[in-house]
Amino acid sequence: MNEYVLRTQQLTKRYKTQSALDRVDMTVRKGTIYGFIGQNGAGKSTLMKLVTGLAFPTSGSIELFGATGGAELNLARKRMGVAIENPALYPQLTAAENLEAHRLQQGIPGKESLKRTLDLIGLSGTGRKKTKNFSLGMKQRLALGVALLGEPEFLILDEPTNGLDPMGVVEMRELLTRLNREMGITILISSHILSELHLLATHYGIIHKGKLLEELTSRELQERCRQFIHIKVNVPERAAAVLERELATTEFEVTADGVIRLYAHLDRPADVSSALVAGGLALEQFMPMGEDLESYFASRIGGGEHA
Amino acid sequence: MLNLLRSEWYKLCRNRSFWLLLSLLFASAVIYVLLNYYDDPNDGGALTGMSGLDLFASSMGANNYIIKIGLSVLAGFFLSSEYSTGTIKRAVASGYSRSKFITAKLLVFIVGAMLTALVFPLVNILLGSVLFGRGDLSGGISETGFIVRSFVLTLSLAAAFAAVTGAIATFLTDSGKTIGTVFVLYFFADGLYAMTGKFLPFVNTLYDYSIFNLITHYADPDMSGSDFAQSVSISLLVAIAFVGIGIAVFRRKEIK
Repeated sequence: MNEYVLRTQQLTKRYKTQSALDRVDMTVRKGTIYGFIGQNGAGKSTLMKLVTGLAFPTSGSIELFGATGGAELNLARKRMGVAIENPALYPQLTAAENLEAHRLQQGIPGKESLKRTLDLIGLSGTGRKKTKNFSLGMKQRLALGVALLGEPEFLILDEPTNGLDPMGVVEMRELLTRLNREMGITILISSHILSELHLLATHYGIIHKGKLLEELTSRELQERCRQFIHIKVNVPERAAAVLERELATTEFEVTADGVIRLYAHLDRPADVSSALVAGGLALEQFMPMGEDLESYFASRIGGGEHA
Repeated sequence: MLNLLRSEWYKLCRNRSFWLLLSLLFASAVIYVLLNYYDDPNDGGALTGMSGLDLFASSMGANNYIIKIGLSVLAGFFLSSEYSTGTIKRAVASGYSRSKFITAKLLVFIVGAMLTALVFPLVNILLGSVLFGRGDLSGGISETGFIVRSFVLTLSLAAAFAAVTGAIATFLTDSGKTIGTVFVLYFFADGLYAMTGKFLPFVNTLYDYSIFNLITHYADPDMSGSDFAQSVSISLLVAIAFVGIGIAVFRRKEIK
């Protein structure tokens, strides 16, 4: 999949002397779910605002569906659905009326799309209830519905799970996964719930203090966050021989300080420890270890800080 | 552009502030006519000397304030609320040019303002004529001509004030600030012109041709044809200029 939906080159945004984005080269490929990770104020929303045309870049370029500037770029934005920051809704209107206002604006023919969208987001039973009386979770879902109304090819969602209860978070994840897999919608999503993002995203971008530190696929992340059994024994060389002979595995590495990282038999730690003890080794340390997205993110931005 | 206009019209028609404003003006106009109708002529009342045209003329004077106050409230809740609710973001990101979006928004707002400006005098002339009879104008002036001319001026001045208000709302983005600023500007503009005119004489001339002055005598039955044409032209030019200013402001505005 080498077709790009969004590509930025040296994208920079400065507010007076403060740099909000610093030469960001970002690539979102077609058909992916791009998890955009960063702390508050890291530049996630700024980038989304530049892509959606809410703010203007200081320098650099934005390529959206191959369009790079002016009216062409604006036209390409018609292929996007957007929900940035708080759910953008008319509080005095009902869910259906909010969708209708957007349908008219986008010139979407036929009103059947309203019912279809309400069913999709699970708000078809809200009737005459005005959106000002909706819970935050319902507002989030309606904002997503509005973004989906024009059957976009690219969704930009800023913190779409804010305010959702645990079931709502799961439903949102399932819905986004379905939209991506069944309808082929490319999604750029930012979220503070990294564990949730981990279950959803196929690609990641880590941004910190306006700089895009890294872009990686979920497979690359998996490799970097690989789980292993951390083993420290009195004679590492003999332990390595035992693992090869008794457990028939070479999926381990011996670090410079003599610690063995065993990437196999993760589900059978008792077998591993028994084999080592039977081989006459004294176990000093034996524990499962590995990074998840949160700890990987923390390590990338310098540790101790969280999204 | 048509899609944007349809969407904005849909939102205006479902704007509670708009309907509340129209309802209040309608109720006020009905009460105003009825108060005059039931005013006892034996106790200083004016029933015997009253006609639909008299009520219409006096309602035009009150409408001066309605146009100013009503517009600032409508602007606050129809234009600026797009920023507070965040819906402006979705609209800007929808792929339309900013110029088209804000033009549609301002045009629908102007139409809403024109409708608002019509309610009070329209109810007065209609209900007043039913209860008191239409009446006559002295000096051989055509009654129908006066009514039509007054409505045309009402509409064109409402459009001008709406465009000014719209440009201010586009610049300030906050409903509270918009309502406050427009209130202060519209109610102190005359005094500001007069004060500045003492030091800068050309400001007096400027004031003579400004919408702030034109609205003070827009219901004058003796208004000449050329004065009428001048008032309409100035109002329309102001409306066009301030829609242009609103577009220019919005095109450069970063949406936070």
